[in-house]
Amino acid sequence: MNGAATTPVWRILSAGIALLAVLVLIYLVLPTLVIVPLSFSSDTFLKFPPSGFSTRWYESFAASTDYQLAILNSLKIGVPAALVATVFGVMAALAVVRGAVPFRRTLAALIIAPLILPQIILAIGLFPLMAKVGLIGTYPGIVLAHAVVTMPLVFITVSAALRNYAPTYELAAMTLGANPWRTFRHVTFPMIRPGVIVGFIFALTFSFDELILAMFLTSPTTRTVPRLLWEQLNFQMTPIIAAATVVLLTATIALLCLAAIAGAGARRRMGRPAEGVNG
Amino acid sequence: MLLAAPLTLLALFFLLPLLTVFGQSFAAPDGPLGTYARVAGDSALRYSLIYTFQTAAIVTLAALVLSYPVAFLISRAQGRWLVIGMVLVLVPFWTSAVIRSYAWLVLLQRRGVVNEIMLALGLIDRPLRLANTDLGTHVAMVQIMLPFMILPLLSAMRGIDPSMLRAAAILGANPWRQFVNVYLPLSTPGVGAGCVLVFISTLGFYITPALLGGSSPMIAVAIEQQVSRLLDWPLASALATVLLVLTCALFMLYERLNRRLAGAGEGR
Amino acid sequence: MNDMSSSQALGTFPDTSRTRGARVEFDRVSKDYGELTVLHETSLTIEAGEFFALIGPSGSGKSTLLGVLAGFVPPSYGAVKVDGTDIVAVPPYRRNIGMVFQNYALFPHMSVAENIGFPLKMRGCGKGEIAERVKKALAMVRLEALGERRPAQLSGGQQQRVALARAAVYDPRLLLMDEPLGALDKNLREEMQDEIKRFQRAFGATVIYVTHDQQEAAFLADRLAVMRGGMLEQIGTPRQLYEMPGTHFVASFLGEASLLPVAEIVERHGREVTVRTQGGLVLRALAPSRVSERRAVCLRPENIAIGASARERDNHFLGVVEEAVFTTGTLRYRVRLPGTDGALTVRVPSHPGIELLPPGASVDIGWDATMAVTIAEE
Ligand SMILES: Nc1ncnc2c1ncn2[C@@H]1O[C@H](COP(=O)(O)OP(=O)(O)O)[C@@H](O)[C@H]1O
Ligand SMILES: [Mg+2]
Repeated sequence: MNGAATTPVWRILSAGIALLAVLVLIYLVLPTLVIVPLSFSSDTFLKFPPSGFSTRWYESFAASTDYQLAILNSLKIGVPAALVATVFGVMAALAVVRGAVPFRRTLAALIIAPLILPQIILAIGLFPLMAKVGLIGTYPGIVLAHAVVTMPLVFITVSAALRNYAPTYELAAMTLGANPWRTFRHVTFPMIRPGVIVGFIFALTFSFDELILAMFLTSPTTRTVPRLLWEQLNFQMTPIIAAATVVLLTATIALLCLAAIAGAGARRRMGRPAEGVNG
Repeated sequence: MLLAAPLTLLALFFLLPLLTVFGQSFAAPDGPLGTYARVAGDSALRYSLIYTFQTAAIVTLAALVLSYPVAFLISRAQGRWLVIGMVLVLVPFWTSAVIRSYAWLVLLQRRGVVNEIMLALGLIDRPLRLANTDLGTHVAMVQIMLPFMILPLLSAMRGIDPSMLRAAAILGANPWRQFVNVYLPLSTPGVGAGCVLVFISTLGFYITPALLGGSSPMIAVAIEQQVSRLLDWPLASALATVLLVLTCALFMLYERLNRRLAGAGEGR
Repeated sequence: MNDMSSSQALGTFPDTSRTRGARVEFDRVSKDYGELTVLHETSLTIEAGEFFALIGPSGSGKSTLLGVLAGFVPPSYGAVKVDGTDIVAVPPYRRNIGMVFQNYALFPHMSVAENIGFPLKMRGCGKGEIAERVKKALAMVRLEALGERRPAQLSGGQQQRVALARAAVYDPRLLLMDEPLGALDKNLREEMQDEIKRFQRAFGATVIYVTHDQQEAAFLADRLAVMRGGMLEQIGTPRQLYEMPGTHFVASFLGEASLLPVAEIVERHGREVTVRTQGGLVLRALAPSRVSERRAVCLRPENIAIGASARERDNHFLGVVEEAVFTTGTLRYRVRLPGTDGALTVRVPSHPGIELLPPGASVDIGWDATMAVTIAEE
C-alpha cells in the first residue's frame, strides 16, 4: 500500500483493485458520451448506429424558437438567482464562520438543508404559497426558489475559503483603523474572492440543471431548458434532444473550467497571503 | 446583523413551504389524520415507500463498493493523473441528471444502443427489456450517484497521513491488515458522509426513476403523480411529510455520529 | 530477522541479555527520483548495539536513508544488510524493525494501549499476553494510567513516550528514530534525551537516530554521520567530528567555527603544519591528513585565549575588538586580526572578576598549534 517492497500476491491484488477502479471510471463517464455520436445522426429517429452523419439536428436546435426562449429563460433565472444566492451565502458564511453566533452547527445545518432535502418537497410546498401571491409562472418566483436551494453551495465554498486563513488578518485591519465594512472590502473579500466566484458558478450551474422546481413554478413562457428537455423527452425521441444535450454539456464543462481556473488562482494567491493584506 | 437577510430568505422560501406541506397533509375532508390513514391503507403507496427504501439501500451499497477503489486510486494519484481523475469525477457530478438519465434511456430502450450492439454481435436474437426494469434503473441510479460517494471518500482519504500506513507496516501489519486496521477506520468519516448523502439523495430521487421506470414508482415520483395527475394535494403532502421526516432523521443521526467520531480523536 | 512471528522469541522488555542489537550495512546504496538523485552511492556500517546518529540540514537525505532501511523507499541501487542478510526485497512488515516517526504516527482511532498492542496483535500474540506486555511497556515509559486515552488527549511529551513504547514493545533489535523530538519544546527535549539514552542502555538495540540538532546528536550518539546533499560528508565520534572536522560544512554545522583561509603551506612536521594565511599571518596548526587539500585553518571559539595568557601560546597575535556581548555564562567577542577580512569569534567564561572589553580595544589573542586544525575549504 505504500510503494515499498511487497510480495507478488499483494502486487496482483493491488493491480486488480486499480483495474476495477478504472472500469468504474469508464462506467461513470462513458454512458453519457453515447449522446455525442447520436446528435450528429442523419436519421429522424434515435437509431444506433446512426446511418449517416449530419448536423441537421444542431441546425434545427439553433432554429428552434422553443429552445431560444428556454435558453434565454435559463439565463434570466440563473443569473439573478446565483447573484442573490452569492450575496446571501457570503453573508451567512461570514456570520457563521467569523461571527459569535449561538448554535453555530445547527445554523450551518439549516442553511445547507435546502440543498439536501428532496426538491419535490419544497416544490409542493412552494406551489400553493406562490399561487396565493401570484408568483407562479413569474421570474421572481423561480428566481427566489433557485436562490434558496443554491445558497448552500455558496455558503459551503465561502466557509471553506474563510477557514483557510486565520482571522488575524481581519483583526490586524481593525487595529489599523478599518471599520467592519472596510475590513470586508479591503481584507476579507480579496482573500475569499476565488471562493465567492466558484460558489457563484456552482449556483449558476445548479440553476441551469434544476428540473423539479422549474416544473412546478415556471409557465410555458418562463420555462427553462431542463423543463423543455423533459417535456420533449416525454413526447418524442428525435435527435434534436441529443443535440441540445450536447450543447448543454459543453456549456456545463465550460462553466466548470472557469470555476477550476478561479480555484487555481485561489491556490496561487493563498501561497502569498500577504498580498491579500496589502490589497 | 449579517444573518438577518439569509435567514429571512430561508424562513419565507424554505421553512414556510415545509410548514405548508405539513399543514396540507392534515387538510383532508375525512379528519386530520385521514390522509395518513389512506397512505397506510393503500398497498401500492405502502409498497412504493418500501421500494424506495430498498432502492436507496441497494444504490448506496453498490455505490460504496464501486467508489471505494476509485477514491483510493485518485487519492494516491499525483500531478496529471490526479487532474484526470478529478475531472472524470467532477464533470459527471455537475452534468444535469436529466442529461445523464436521457443517456441511459438511449442506451437501454428497446431499440437502444445496448440492445443493438448485442443483436449485432449475435448475443441475443430479440431485444431485451432493459428500461422499465429494476435492474436497468438501479444501474443508472448508481452511476448518477457515484460522484456523491466518491467525493466524500476522497476528501477523507486525502486527509489520511501516509505515515500512518508506514507505521502500521513497520509494526508488522501486512497490506491487508494495514487496510483493515488502519486505513478503513481512518476513512470511515468519508464512508459515513458518502452513504448518508447517497441514501438521502436516492430517497428523493425523481428524474431517473420517472424516466426509466421500475417495478414501482419511487416516493418522489408518486408525490408528483398525486399532484399532477390526481390533483390530490393532501395525499402528496402526507407522502412528502413522510419523506421529509425520514430525511431529517437520517441527517440528524449522521450529524450526531459525525460529532462523536470527531470528538473521539482525529487530533492531528 | 525471521524469528519475529513466534511470540516466545520476543522476550520481555528490558531484558538486555537476550536482545542484542543488529549490525547494519549499507552497501553502495543510492536513490533517484527520475532525474533527481537524492541519495548518492552511500556505504556505511553500523555496529551491533551502537547508537548512531545521522545529522544534516533539511533535505539532505536523512529520512531517505532511514526509509531505505525501514523498507519504505526502495533503493535504486545497492544492498542493505542486517546481520549479513540483504533485506531490500523484504516488505517493511516483515523486517521486524522498530521505528519512531517524526510526528509519531500514532493511530488516532486507537487508544494508547491499542496503539502499543498493535504490533503484538500483528504478530499473533494472545489477548492476555498483549495486555500484560502493554502494561509493562506503559510502566517503562511511566504512562501506566493513560492506557485508555486517545493519542489526541495526550501532551506532546506523552505522545512521544507512547511512540517509543510502541516501537519497542516487540523487542526489535534495530530501532529507527526520525527526528523524534523535533516537535517538542526545548526543556522537554532535554528531558526526553535523557530518557532515550537510558532506554537504549537498558534495551540494547542498535539505534539509528535522525536529527538536525547537533547538540542532541553529540549527547546521544556513539558515532554520527553528517549528511549533505545526499552524501555522507563525515563519519566519526562526536568528539572527532567536533575537534577534527574534515570540511568547513562539518565544522560550522557542529557548533561555531572561525576560518582563516590558507594561502600556502610553509612547512610540514609530522601531524603539524606551518601555513601562511591569505591575510599574511604565519601560524601552526594540526593537519590530520592530505595536507594539500586543506585550504583553511579552523578555530573553535572556546579554544582561543584572550589577554595576557594568550602571549604564551604557539600562535599569538594582537587584534582589535569589534564586538563584545555577554551571553549567559560567557563573554563573546569578535576580534579582527591585522590584515584579515573576517574576524575570529572568541568565547571566554564569564565571572564577576572579569572586565568586558569595549569595542576598539586592542587585545592579545592566541592559541596552541593542537587547538587549530586545517580543513578542506568547500
Ligand atoms: N517521493 C519523492 N519524490 C521526489 N523527491 C523526493 C521524494 N521524497 C524525498 N524527496 C527529496 O529527497 C531529498 C531528501 O529528502 P529527505 O530524505 O526527506 O531529507 P531530510 O530527511 O534530510 O530532510 C529532498 O530534496 C526531497 O525533496
Ligand atoms: Mg526528514
